[in-house]
Amino acid sequence: MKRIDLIRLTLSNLRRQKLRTALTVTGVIVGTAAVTTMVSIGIGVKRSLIAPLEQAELLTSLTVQPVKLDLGSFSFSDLGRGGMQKLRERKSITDETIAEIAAIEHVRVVYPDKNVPLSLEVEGGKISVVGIDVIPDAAITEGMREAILAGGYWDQTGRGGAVLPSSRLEDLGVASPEEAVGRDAIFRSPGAFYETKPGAEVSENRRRVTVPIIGVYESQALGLAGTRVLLPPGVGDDAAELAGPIGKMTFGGPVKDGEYRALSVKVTDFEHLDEVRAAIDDKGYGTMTAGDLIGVIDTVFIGIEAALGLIGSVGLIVAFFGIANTMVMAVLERTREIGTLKALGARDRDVRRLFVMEAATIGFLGGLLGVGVSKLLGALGDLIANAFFARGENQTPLDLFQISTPLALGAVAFAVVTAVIAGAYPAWRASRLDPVVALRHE
Amino acid sequence: MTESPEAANQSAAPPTPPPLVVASGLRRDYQVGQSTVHALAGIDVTIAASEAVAIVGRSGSGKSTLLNVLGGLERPSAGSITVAGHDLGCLSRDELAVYRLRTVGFVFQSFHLVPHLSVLENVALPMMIAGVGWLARRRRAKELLERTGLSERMRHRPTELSGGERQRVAVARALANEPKLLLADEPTGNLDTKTAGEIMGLIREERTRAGAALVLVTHERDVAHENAERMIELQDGAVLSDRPTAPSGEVAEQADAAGAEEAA
Ligand SMILES: Nc1ncnc2c1ncn2[C@@H]1O[C@H](COP(=O)(O)OP(=O)(O)OP(=O)(O)O)[C@@H](O)[C@H]1O
Ligand SMILES: [Mg+2]
Repeated sequence: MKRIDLIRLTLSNLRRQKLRTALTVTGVIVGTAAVTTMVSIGIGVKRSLIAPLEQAELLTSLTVQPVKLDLGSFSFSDLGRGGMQKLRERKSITDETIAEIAAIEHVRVVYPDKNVPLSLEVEGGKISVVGIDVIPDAAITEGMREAILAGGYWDQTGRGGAVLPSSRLEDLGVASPEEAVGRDAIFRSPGAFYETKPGAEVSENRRRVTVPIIGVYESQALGLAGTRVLLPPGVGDDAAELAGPIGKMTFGGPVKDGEYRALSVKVTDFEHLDEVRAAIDDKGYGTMTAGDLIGVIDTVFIGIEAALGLIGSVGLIVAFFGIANTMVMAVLERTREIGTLKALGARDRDVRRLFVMEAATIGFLGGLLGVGVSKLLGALGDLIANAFFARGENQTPLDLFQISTPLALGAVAFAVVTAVIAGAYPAWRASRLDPVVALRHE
Repeated sequence: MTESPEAANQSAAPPTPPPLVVASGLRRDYQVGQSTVHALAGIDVTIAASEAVAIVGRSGSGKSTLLNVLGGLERPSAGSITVAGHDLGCLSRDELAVYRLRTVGFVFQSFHLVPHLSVLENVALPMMIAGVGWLARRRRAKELLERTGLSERMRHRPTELSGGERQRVAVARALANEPKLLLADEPTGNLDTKTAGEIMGLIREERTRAGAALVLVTHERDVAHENAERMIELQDGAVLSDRPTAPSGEVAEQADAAGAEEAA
């Protein structure tokens, strides 16, 4: 029998039992939509975690730490005795280290990592907790300059001060980037925020560092780093001091005087990141990049996606039995017809293919429509998620349900395979029917 | 075209073509609970190509069983049967299916048309199974239906036809793949006498045109006399008599009387 005739017969058989076909296909739609939606949530959440890491600024940066930590193969046993041993063997990071690393080829700039949380009150605005970063002039990249919305960096304005991320303006009670520039930023230790009741004055005996706001940059442009308040050395160092011991903690306890807890290294371009990293590793320091984090997220999400997929598969398991039932019924109903086909000379495999094709078509239709339904559900889910989390104007809308082409194709293939397996036994039974017995069937 | 193994034995007499069917010691048993039913209890029969043979006998004498074995629908329990060079006892399931497809055409008492296919599609069905293209098989199906006088009903479903019309469709279908052996199991059993006559006429005409051998199961001796050159009578799965049907009515009557005596 020709394949085209097989398809023709299959479609005619399915059309003849419209209601039953529709019900069975609906089962597959539900199952496929469940699997697809579940997996797409996993992928969407992963993407939304990774996307901010895949920023040019981050991909040309790396962090130098006093100990080597292998994030890729992290396991809880590292926290045991061996891990503690590792922490005690930590290197000390000093100005000497900075000089040493600065000498490596393709390193653009090296500076101590002074990223700490502080409370920030904008004059005439509100108080909030922000992360600050103290960076030398050389660490200001072209991308960072292009991201400026108002004002500029200290090396342009000639005035030392804070450059704020646009995403935090709302929390700080500032209406627009233009309005922020020129006002005073008052930094205090992070505790100041938590002891402040709405409307009450901040306790005056806390130490503080006041600097003018000289610029505002577009947060999105800088990805994960786009939430930090940037300060130049000098005033920045003074502000960082406010955080107290928080700024001195590293793996295995606080750093000694004259030591840094970590260094930020910017390389000239992404292509040389691995090379620079290897050179630093060789010196015995630990290094970390955004890529490591992406790797960890990827690893963790393999498990999460598999678990979500498994939960979704329950729907397809139900559909499996629906298809099997439909096919058993079809074989029973068409026993005489099968007898006729065999008496006329159809081989076992012709009969088998007829029923397998029928099941596969049910799976294909259900899979295709299921992916469509899941796309609709995803669009609706994203709409609700974005409304619920009330994302500000300056932030990209959430895209939590991501149905990529491979996922869509995979889901359809999965539905077809499920259907073929469900139809295999009834099809085999049909193919083994004795023609004489089948012809006598009432 | 496979050559019959019997061809070698008859090489001395070139004008005689090899027989189409050679059965010897053919047995078919059915296990029913503890007991065994011998539906065919050792049958020896030879049928020449393009010969028309009628099989008669009482109900349960094994007529249908013999026809099913001839048609490759059932396997013999013992003995041998060769049709057009195919040793039916030795064929695999698939080979047997191909044998049914290519070598035989079946006409059943209860038609066995596929109800959801049109008349035209039913006739084209064996060609579809054989992998004949859409256009070619429709052309041939139309031609066959024209000859059977059903060209006006090609688009109808079998359920919309009378019994006689359905059997015409079945005859056309049986001829679709140009069989060498046409098998008909009481093809007029469900039809009135007049319609039965028409159907038998059609079968006679078409099988002569196709040059196929005919094995016709019937329990009406008249039908046997009219449509076959030879009549085999079965009793309890064995051949009771095997003789030519007399060409004239007189001899036919004698034969009938003899048959009646034997049956009594
Ligand atoms: N599948 C089967 N299982 C058991 N016994 C069977 C089977 N098929 C046929 N028989 C038996 O074999 C014998 C011959 O049956 P068969 O159908 O060949 O008779 P028949 O001559 O065609 O009869 P009828 O004229 O009634 O059609 C009967 O006794 C029948 O009961
Ligand atoms: Mg019978």
